[in-house]
Amino acid sequence: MNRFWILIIIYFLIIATTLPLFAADESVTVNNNLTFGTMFPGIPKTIDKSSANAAEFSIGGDAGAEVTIDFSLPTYLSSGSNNMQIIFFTDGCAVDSNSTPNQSSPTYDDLNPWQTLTYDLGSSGLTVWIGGKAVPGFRQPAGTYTADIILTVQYTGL
Amino acid sequence: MLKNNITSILLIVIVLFVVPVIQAQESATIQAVATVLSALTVTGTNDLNFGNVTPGTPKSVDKTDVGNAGEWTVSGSASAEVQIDFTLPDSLRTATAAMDIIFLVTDASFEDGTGGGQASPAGNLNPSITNTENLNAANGSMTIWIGGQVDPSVSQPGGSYSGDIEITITLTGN
Repeated sequence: MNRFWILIIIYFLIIATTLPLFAADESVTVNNNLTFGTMFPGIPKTIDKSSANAAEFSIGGDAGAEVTIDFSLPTYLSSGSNNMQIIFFTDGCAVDSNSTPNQSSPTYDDLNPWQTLTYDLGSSGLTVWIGGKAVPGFRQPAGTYTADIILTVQYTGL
Repeated sequence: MLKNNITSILLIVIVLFVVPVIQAQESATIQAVATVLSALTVTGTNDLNFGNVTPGTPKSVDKTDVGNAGEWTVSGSASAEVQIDFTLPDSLRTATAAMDIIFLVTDASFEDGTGGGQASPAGNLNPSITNTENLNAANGSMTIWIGGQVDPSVSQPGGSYSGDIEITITLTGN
């Protein structure tokens, strides 16, 4: 084995052993579900991003690091085989980077959850809120309707 | 020797500049949750029945007149607030004749489980305006009755007269 291949092996060993050191120590915590409560058939209900019933995530990591935030949003809530429409508005998201997050007056407001959001982590990370609107039909069958909202956070390396 | 040094330097450069580009990614999932309550159903369970009417002699049917007052049953979610609207005819008709019908502001009533039924209902409804009430707190039911008065003329042609009385129940969301 020539020296070149030995170095290649060393290179991958370095990657394998040092990657955890380079990987950022980020975390995403769910603080609150998006809760519509009880609804009547035919009567839509909106939960504002500033409401206590809005969804809330906390993102932790290295202060000052830039991250991208992407939502995977459902179009329906489901209860068994029954569906109910859910709408996420293009200004229905907010982000706060302060150590004491202010949901009613966040650092970044009226954000579009359908687009990738890019922000720097604050000293306590970021807090993210999202609201939405559920629209039951006039003949919407009774039941508890649910759907997943997935938030993915990734360091940009900046 | 020079070649090996160059290779080493290149590898160090790769490690320094490529590895940091590898980024961590974290995801978290929450749920959107909503509980939909029962839909409303409204059923007409008895017609407003005046029976035989004599020309020139008005005839009234009281809302407490079991079997002759108009009656609807409503079913929905317990305690749900509803608006109650009547669409009332101003006459009953045959194919060729009309007979006046009158509804007074106290001609309708409802039972939501807090009263004594048709004879002593929970409250009166004014069939000429929008009324707001709550369905039965235990089972989401309500029964509504309506009476009225027909006023045949002295020359009222004989025949079977009829007209539609519609009720519209709307959830307020409260």
